[in-house]
Amino acid sequence: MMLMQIKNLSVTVNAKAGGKKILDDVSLQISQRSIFALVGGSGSGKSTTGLSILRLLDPGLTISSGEVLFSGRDILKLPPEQLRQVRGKDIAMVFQEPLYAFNPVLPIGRQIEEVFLSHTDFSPQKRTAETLRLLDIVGIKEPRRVYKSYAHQLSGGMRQRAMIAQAVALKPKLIIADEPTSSLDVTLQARIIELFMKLRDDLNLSVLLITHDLGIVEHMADTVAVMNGGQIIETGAVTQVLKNPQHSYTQELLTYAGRT
Amino acid sequence: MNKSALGLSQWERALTQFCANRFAVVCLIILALIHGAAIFADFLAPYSFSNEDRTFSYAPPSKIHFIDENGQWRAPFIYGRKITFDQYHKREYLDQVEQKYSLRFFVKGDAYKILWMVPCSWHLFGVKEGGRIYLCGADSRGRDLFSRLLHGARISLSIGIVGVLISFSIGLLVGGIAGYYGGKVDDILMRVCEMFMLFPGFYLLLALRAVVPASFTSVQVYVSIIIILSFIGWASLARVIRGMCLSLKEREYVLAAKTMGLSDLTIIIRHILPHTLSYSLIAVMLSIPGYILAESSLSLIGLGIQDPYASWGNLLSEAMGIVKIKFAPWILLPGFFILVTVMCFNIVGDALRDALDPKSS
Ligand SMILES: Nc1ncnc2c1ncn2[C@@H]1O[C@H](COP(=O)(O)OP(=O)(O)OP(=O)(O)O)[C@@H](O)[C@H]1O
Ligand SMILES: [Mg+2]
Repeated sequence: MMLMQIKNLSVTVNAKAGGKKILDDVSLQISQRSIFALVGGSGSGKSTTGLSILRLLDPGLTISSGEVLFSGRDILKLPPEQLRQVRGKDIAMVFQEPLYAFNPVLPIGRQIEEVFLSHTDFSPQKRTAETLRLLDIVGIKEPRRVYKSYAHQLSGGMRQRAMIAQAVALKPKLIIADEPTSSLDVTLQARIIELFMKLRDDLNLSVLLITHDLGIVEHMADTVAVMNGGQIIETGAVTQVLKNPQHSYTQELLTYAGRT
Repeated sequence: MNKSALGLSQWERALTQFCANRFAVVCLIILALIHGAAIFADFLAPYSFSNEDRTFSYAPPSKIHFIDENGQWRAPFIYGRKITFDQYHKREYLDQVEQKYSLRFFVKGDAYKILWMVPCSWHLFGVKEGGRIYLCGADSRGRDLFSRLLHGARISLSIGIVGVLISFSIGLLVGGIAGYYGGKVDDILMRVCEMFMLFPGFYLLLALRAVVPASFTSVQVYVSIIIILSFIGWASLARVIRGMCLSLKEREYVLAAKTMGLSDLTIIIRHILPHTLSYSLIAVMLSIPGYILAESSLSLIGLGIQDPYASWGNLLSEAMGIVKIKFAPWILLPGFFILVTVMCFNIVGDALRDALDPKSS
């Protein structure tokens, strides 16, 4: 069953700044309860694809054509209030560097609670209780301490877990994770990947995983799409694409990753 | 990661640095005392602001004696005084040796309400019925200037603080919205700001004051002065805040908040404006004097707080004739209080800037 379909998405830099095409006719499909990896070199347009889905592109960029169908609705055509409901509730996002994704002057717990404040009518006690529960779900040992901590007081792994806790707060159906493990050391990377897989099973969600790391893709993803220069050049089941790459660019990527 | 780079221990460091500036700390203490005195004016002042005795017109400050006419020590007291006129019809107050009023503490006097709620009539000090004590002399109608200074502090200081709070709320919100949305919204809001900044403040103040109906009661005049002052003050702050928001909105946590579907207003108020706090705090401290001075100027020329209510400005308006200053120099005291308060706010504001924004010094 398809959860989200991106159809012929193109993004251009505003005419004033040159009108260059950054995404060119990108199409992809993410099925329910799956992990979809988007790989490609730096500047290939992976983050732009992720942000287009939530319509959070830099004002200097415009979506010139295409559709983003999510449970039958085109997100690109939603009125602002419905779009706001989709953000956080249906689709959430996890960033590469959670240190910057948390406001440095608010305790972590308060920021996670904001999600409930904006989307539910929970009482303050319920909000706190839910937040503590979430922190527990993502494997944080001392939820109460983390709840009161500021981002800089936590370790990288803890921060990323807290960020993931915020993302799953409203049980979204899709999480867009933009290089969620690139800022972590190898052992932590594995733990976070395991967490994503556990959440997928427990909460029935799909993950759009943006990454450089083919090792992670192999270990975790079901489907992979390879991007280059704003286009998707190859897509398919992970086993298939990694074993038997069709496109020369994919072969190159694999060579550099040392897997041929 | 460096803590201070994230703006967290910044406050602790700023506090240490502020405290190192002894002069500013003294000024802060003076401000605290003046504001405390204003809050408890009713209790600290021996009389209400309108308690008058025309037989004591322009009576000089009472001398407090410890030794009586026979050279004997006794508890502090004042002599009763009687008015006479010399050959040039100048007032002279003569001590009446047979009338002694000892200075008493915690006496009953004019009724008032503690903090506008609890009825009470105790005063810190005073003298027995029949005598009148004038620590700072009397005005033309024999009202105690000391009492009126304290009551005036209430009005002058509260206009400053309430005015600043209102205009800063407007300025922060307008600046935040303009900076956050950018584009057309920004253009329109900034043109409006410029319109307000274009007019010389004092003339705009007079023009707006002219709109206030003459039939207004004192309270209404007080409120309208606050509103007028806030109305003028917000624009310059809004411009600066807007500039700061332009860069603050590019922070990743703002993007993260958007992905979680927080509303724009929530993002502006919770994730953007708090980061302008240190600037706003400095700006607040440095702009309160402007409000106090503006109220004083209005009251001085008779357009502000009206008699019998007291504000430092309208108390000072009594001191507009050189003859009065010559024979009753104490009526200049309100000017001294304005001066000290304004100076303290400026010094504290400057010290705060040095402490919070090390780059500026
Ligand atoms: N606001 C913008 N204005 C102009 N060009 C932009 C803008 N944002 C991104 N680009 C360009 O779009 C291209 C794709 O950027 P994007 O961030 O999506 O790449 P990416 O695949 O996520 O790369 P990385 O792996 O480095 O994160 C880049 O060439 C970048 O220079
Ligand atoms: Mg990227």
